[in-house]
Amino acid sequence: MNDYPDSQHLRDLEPPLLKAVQAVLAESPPADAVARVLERAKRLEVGAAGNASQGVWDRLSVRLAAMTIGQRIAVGAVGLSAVVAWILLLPGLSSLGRLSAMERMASELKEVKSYGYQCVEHVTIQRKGQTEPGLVDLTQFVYWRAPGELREELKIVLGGVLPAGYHPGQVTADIIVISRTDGPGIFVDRSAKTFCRLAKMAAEQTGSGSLVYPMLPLRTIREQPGKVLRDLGSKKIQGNPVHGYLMAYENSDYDQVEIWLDPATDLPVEIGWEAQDETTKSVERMIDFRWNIELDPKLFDASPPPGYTEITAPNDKESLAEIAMALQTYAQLSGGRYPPLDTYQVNAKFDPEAIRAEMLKMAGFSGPARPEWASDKKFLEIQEARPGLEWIAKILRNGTAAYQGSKVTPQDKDKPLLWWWNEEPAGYRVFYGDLHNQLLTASEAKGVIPPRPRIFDAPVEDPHP
Amino acid sequence: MQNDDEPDWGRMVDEHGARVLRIATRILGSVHDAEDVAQDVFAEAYRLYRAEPVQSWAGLLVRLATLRAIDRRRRIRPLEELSDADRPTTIGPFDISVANELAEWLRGAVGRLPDQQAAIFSLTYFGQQSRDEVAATLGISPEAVSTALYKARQHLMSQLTLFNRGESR
Repeated sequence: MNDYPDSQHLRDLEPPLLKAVQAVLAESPPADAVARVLERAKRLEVGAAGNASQGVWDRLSVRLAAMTIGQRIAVGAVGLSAVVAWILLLPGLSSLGRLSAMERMASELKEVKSYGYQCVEHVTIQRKGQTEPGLVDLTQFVYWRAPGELREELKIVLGGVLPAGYHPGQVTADIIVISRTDGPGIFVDRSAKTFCRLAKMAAEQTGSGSLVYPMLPLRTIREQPGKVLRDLGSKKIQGNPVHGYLMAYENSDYDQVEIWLDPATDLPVEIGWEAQDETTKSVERMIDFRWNIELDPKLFDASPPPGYTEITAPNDKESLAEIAMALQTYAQLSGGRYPPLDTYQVNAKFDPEAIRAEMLKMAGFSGPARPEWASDKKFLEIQEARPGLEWIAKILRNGTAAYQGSKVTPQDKDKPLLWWWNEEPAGYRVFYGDLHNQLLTASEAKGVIPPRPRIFDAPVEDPHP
Repeated sequence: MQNDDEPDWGRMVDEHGARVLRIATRILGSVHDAEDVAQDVFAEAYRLYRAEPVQSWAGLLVRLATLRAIDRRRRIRPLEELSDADRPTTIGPFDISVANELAEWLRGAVGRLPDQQAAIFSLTYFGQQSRDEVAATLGISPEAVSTALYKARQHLMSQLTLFNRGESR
């Protein structure tokens, strides 16, 4: 393969086109860009090798992101059910010839038509300079039935020593996610009494235990056959005899996984694992497995709960234009700034009525409304900003959304001002400082939108001020 | 699963990294975007590296770089237009600004070609692959490469004529 423009190679091109091609070929990336690419590419291997010791906190932060809508599939509830999928994938492992019990389990699991289980996770975070740790308790219930209906309920409660703005017993997530392959799903936030419609899920994304779900564990398993580290012997769980195995999966999130099987059915009864890094320890157990049970169809009903507010983000041109118009009007009235708010700050709230009131004040409309205002162009513009402001407030109730008007001005054409996860087509909708907007893939968005601060990165409140 | 016969990952990156970035840069016209594409390409390649033996890493990486860069070009700048002021009145003299505009026009025009033609044109002229190499890279016959390349050039020539008259992007 040639690696450099070569006149021989180009000789049959029409001369005008040749000039255009030569103009393109004349441009080469600078050496420092090449060096960066090489370094990042090489890091892929280091990252894979180091995966087994990946920080627990990193995984937890991802899991906390499960409270948000967009990432719900990749993390948290579904992340936990990944282990079920691991087991379902066991027939693909090359080293299973000697694992007759595990092999039988895998075979049985392939025939499963429905299941339910509970997962509990207890996380301890020992922060630098703190004598007492912060605590996070996650409780999850998962129900699945063939061919593609999944219900996940997740509750996260904080405890111990917490950053400013949080208190022990605080519920930071109380959500239900219903995903279906035959139609739209729903994300319900029981704390906020809101819901959001979800796109129909691809079959491999429903946590069904299909051979291609979820992607990362699938790859892990295919690449790294599991090994039985130890036969854990027999014991009783809820009065029934079980037999346990300690399994290892290299380069996976979970270094060692304990699996307890019911010898009568060859199906798992309990699965558990622990992970630890410098500051964080996580103990997780999947318990109360029930296989091939009758599940009430209502569990998978994706209808909105009565009395809940819909916060599905808009994707139509008109609504996006309303958002831009509202922010533009504010910026014009304020002399070139946006409502000064950063929703990454704890308790920051985008209040459309307060902002509209401020706009009226800036435009000189104070005191009780007067009839003559109704024909005032400026007044009408501010009135017309209302739908856009209300959209923003609604979108910001969606956990994937953020607004940073205190850091971005209309001159910042490359800085993200407002963004949220869009369900369909999937991607991050990003409004920039100059109010143009784009739909970015998750990987593109990584380089554009700042990461959401993690709860335990914030300073701890002094308990004795 | 990594095969014992597989090359060392670091060596492969060293060997092909610059080429991946160069092709992406040529297609995208932005080093920043090209770096992102290169990173995605290597991430994709690494998964394959771990999963299955690959016959030609050079071919795979060049193909991924080309296809991903074309995708990105279309996604990021789907409606790109040059204003009248941006259009050169003639192709020459070949000063830097005209060359840049011409290069940018070509990238946009290639991005608007049908998928296969865009890939074949990019691999041939931006990736400097021979007809047989392009055929192997894309898994098609050399004849199909010739046909698509001919069509792509014809189309680009007609567009370039209009462009030079100020009648088209």
